[in-house]
Amino acid sequence: MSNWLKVKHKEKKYYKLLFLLFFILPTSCSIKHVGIPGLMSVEYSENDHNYRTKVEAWGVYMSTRPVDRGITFGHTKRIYIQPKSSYKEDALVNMLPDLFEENWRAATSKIEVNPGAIALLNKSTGLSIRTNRNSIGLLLGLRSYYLLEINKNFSGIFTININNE
Amino acid sequence: MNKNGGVLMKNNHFIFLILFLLAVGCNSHLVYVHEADLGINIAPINPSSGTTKFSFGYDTETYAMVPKRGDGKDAMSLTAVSRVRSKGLQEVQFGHVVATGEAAKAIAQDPDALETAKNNLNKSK
Repeated sequence: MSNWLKVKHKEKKYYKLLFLLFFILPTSCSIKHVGIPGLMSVEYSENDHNYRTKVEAWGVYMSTRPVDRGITFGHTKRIYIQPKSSYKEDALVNMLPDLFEENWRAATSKIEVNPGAIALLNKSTGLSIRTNRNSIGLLLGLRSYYLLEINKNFSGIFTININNE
Repeated sequence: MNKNGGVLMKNNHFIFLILFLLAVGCNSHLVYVHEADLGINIAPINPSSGTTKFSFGYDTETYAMVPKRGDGKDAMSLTAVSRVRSKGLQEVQFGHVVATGEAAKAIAQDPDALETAKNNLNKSK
């Protein structure tokens, strides 16, 4: 095989990976977390004003959320916090949530969240490939990443107290 | 490089630009980011000019991206009180009270509400 054909063959493989990351991941938005069963834990909790999802995974972890879409080989720990959609902004103006008393409790049922705001804390070790709307790239090593994203149409109050414990 | 190779390289740049725009899109979000990396990091910064960031070792960045409107008006009203505590990569804590829209205007005009937000952040663990 000539060098030219070898290069062409390698590029075909490269494009297959890119198609997987950019086209298959966005279409599978209903699956938010993909990992190895038994090596991944997902915990849902809530307090009076927010809904929290904690994910910890070993091995391979793939997220399809637009804020952190990508794949990690190694260890990853992510915390997502979103405001509950049940809160009225008028009620909160005169009563800002007290972050000292967060009172997280296990969420027993599916809670509707306001998609206009999200806070994410990500700590990962290993090889991570990022293909999300805020970041694209590749990292081999340790990464600590915090993101607060507010849609310009979001109207309300969002309070966060988040750490990587 | 032969002629076909040159065309392929140009196509690669074009495909990367399209994929980058698809992934990043037109930013309609206010974004605040604090990131710290230890290792080898490769990231395209501006695909149209072919600029790529490469870092080896420790690298940290804190930045915000603010949406704008073309007609000279603010894209959104926002009042925010923030607190960040950081000890390297291991211990990072973020506290934010972010208000947008009418709530932002109400809080910004109320010194007591701002003081409450600040106090709540300060006393949180």
